[in-house]
Amino acid sequence: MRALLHKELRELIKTARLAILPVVFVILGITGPALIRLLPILLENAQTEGIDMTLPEFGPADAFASYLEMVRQMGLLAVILVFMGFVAGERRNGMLASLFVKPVSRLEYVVTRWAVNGVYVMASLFVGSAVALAYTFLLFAPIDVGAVARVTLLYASYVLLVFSWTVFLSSLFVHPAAAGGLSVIPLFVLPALGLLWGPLGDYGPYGAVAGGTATIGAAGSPAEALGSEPLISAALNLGLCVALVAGTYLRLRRMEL
Amino acid sequence: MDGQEATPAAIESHGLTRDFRRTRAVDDLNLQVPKGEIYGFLGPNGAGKTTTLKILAGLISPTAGKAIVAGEEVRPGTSSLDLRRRVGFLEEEPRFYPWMRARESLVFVGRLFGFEARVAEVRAEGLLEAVGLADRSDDKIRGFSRGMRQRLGIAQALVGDPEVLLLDEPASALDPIGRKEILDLIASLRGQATIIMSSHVLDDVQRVAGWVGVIRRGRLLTQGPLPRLLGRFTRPAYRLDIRGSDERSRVSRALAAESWCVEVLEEGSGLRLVVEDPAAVESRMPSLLAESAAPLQGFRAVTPTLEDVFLQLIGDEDEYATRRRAELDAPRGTGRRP
Repeated sequence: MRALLHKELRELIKTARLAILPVVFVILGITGPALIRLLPILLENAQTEGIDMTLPEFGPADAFASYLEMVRQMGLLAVILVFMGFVAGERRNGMLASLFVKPVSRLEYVVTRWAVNGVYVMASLFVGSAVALAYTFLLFAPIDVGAVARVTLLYASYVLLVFSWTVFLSSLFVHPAAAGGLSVIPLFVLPALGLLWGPLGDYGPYGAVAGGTATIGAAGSPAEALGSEPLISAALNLGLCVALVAGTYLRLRRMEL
Repeated sequence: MDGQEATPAAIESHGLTRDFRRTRAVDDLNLQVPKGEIYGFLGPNGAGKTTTLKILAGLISPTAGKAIVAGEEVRPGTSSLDLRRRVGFLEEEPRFYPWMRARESLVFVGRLFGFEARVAEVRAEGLLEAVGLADRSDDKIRGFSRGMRQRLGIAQALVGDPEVLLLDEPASALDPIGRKEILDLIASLRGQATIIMSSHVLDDVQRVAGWVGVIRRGRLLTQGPLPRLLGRFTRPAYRLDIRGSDERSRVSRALAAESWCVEVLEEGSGLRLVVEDPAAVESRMPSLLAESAAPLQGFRAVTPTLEDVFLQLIGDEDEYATRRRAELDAPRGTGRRP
């Protein structure tokens, strides 16, 4: 276990992967609040005669919410792109075969890699949130750090779910692109579950995201107190992550290489 | 099975069969590799050597039959960690993490085998020395040539001090010097480890193997101790060196007409004569050469090689296949079908 753990950490550093996601999330942390700050100016310059647009006054909550929206889109896409070859890539280049003829348990392989990279994904998200928090303060006003920490934790459960889903799909397909292509499906499906049945939206995987965003308070809405729904949703996400790790292991357990 | 020995088998397979869709890659293979022996696994390209080794390494499952390595049946994902600690495997094109350095890669493998960091370091040093990569130990593997990767692959297969070593074409990417070094290294492991080494380079196998198995189209044609196979599958052969191509042709024609002569082959500036009975050579050859008045420069018995065994087996197999095809193609009722 220690050898694999050490190798995984070294790989993060040696392959520059360590920098990719933090850089992406830092960019989102900067552009999210900056976009909100610049939006009125941009719209004013673009306004044509005869059309009168009145924008609400944006505050720090809107700035941070803009960052969160970017995380839900580009942030998750970046996670998928980075990890779509998690298993598929190693299978294709022969590294899996090379490892599994040695005394390495397939469960150990899955759990170690998932854990190290899962922590890396979450750390990247927290770095992005910290930058967004700082930028919101610089461009607008201070925002409740506790609320930011809570919403980031709730988002982390969702980001981790997308990461685990990508890892699982990566074990099903030989081509990383196939895993990556199918990994984006939840990004469209999960937010729409609430339309099918209300409780699915509140308690389903996306509930942590929607509920978490609401606690920030944006677009003129007051910040909502954190209810039980996002917490249940986050717990469900973590449970689904465990199920997906188990699924990845089951797929790998008898895999021919 | 020919060549069955009293020595216990470290690697064996029983009715081992593997299908890939409509292709049967391995067909009812019954291998017996005695403990401590170096077993040359021969066959033309696509014969099923790599598939067999992958089954033995637990990377793919047999469609039927079973493979037993070091006393334990191997299956993908279910072979015990203990078994994998006792087996070393070299793929034809060994794979590594390209960002690692040679020494780092071996230390990593040593750690996977459960060695303490310092022990793994010492083992890595020794193995890099043994495979001739000591001066490249701190270079990234990304920049290694195929031959260097093969050397490193062999070192990696030896990290765990394996009881059984599965080598798929271990010298295929090496230059002549590298080939000699690696074959010497393999030969030095005789008695310490049981080695099965696939190759289509017959000289390599003859240099190091004590036992040989020949596979063709997934079927084992024969296996046994090399001296026994040489005796069993090769006919007595002689080399005649005759000056002048016209004279050589004349002698060749004269020999070909003799009933005791199986085959006459032009071989450089001489002739290779394959016979059924060496006694006939002794009695008939002097008079035949005298009659042809050929300027004889040399005449000697030729030691049979593995190539002779291989070619004969493959030739027999081709002949058999052609005969079978003809039999199957023949219309019913002709009486040609057995």
